Amino acid sequence: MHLDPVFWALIFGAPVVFWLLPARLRYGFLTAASIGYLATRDWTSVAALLGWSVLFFLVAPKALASGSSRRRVSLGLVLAILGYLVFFKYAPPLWNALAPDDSGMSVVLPLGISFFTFKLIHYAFAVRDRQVTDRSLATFLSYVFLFPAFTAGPIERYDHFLEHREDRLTVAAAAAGLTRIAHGLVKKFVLAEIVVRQWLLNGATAADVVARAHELGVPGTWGFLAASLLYAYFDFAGYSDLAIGGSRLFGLRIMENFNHPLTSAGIGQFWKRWHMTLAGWCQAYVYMPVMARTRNPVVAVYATFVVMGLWHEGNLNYLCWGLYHGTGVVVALSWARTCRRRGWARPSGRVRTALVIAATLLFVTGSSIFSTTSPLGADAMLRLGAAALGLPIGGAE
Amino acid sequence: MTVTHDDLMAFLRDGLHVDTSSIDTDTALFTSSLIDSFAMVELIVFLEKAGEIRMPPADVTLTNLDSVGAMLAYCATRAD
Repeated sequence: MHLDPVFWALIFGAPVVFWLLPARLRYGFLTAASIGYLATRDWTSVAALLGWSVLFFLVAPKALASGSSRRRVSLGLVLAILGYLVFFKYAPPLWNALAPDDSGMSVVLPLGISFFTFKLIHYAFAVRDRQVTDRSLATFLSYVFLFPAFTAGPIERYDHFLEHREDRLTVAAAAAGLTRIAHGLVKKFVLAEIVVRQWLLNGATAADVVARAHELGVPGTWGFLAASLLYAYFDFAGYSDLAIGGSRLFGLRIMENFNHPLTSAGIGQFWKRWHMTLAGWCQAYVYMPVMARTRNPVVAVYATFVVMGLWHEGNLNYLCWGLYHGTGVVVALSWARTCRRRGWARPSGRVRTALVIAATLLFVTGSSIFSTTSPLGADAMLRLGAAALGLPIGGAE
Repeated sequence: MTVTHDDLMAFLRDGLHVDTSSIDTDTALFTSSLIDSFAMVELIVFLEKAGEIRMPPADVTLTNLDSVGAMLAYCATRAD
């Protein structure tokens, strides 16, 4: 989408029309521009999402009514949209893993399905919890379909969206938006694609590295994993910058998604700085409810990271990715709790901080074993993991 | 029985070993990482015991738990 000239014409042209219109027409225009553009990419997905959006807009407020059906309304909406997500995203790989070779299931994944599903679930709960009272359909649809953030997030909260709208465009806001877009372009197309992919990785893909893992050895494998982490960061942070900057041109200050995560001192801090909107969503709608029911933070942490993993892709690689990060967070929090209970002073200072940052970076780099091999399957994940640990790789020589 | 401001600050200081000198009523505790996810469970147990209340799962939200003021307000409504 970000290589499409129409996208860029819309990013720079639509704000001009948006600000020339009377305030009451602006969000209707933004909705029409977003839907019109996205429909040129995948009109069936957009039509389905329009139906889902109108359904949520009309039905979600019924959770505010008194009576026994109150909780069932939001739960019903959430289960329905989750069913839609499961059908398209998780049922095909599961079916194909279980079914005979000649009966494979293939469906086209709706555009932006993981992002809009989570936005709609948030909306249902936010309305139920009275965090959202705005009843403008045009504003709601502009939030759901906001084209700069549609395919790569951030996963904006509707209450945040409503509270961070500006009613006039200032020179400072326009400059901030354009600067942010420039940052995004540099991250995505210079740092991610040229510096990391072309120079550091020399165009090598995970498939190449898995095939040559026995030649690369442990240092070479870790070099690939580190470069892959850098690529993922610049790629995703770049897209987030483009979305944040593009939205700012419409007077929308949407949520930040990254905050220098590669300098985090601890895995807990890392998850406060990397894909912050997904982590925040999962904290509110997975961690808190599971913790509230089980009173067991370990179970809640694992549930949270399994959901975060499967949100990326419905496969064994991302399930393992979630368990890996969940284990890291549980170990870090358990250690902090032990120190707290025993009254052990935790060392501070620059050397200690540098060591913790290095350890965190090493741990996160290790998670590239799961994410980079996601398109290749579990066998590739095991082979890359074995190469990273210096273990013999069966069948490679 | 209602949880008081002093009770809560004492638990944060002595029970969770949090530096309370910079915490005021509205300071975000969890979302700003002053208190971690594991400590949240200990805090809930404290509120239930000190306030002689039971927090149903639907009430275990950041809205009710993310600051001293929010926790005191929640406990006050439950004690009514």
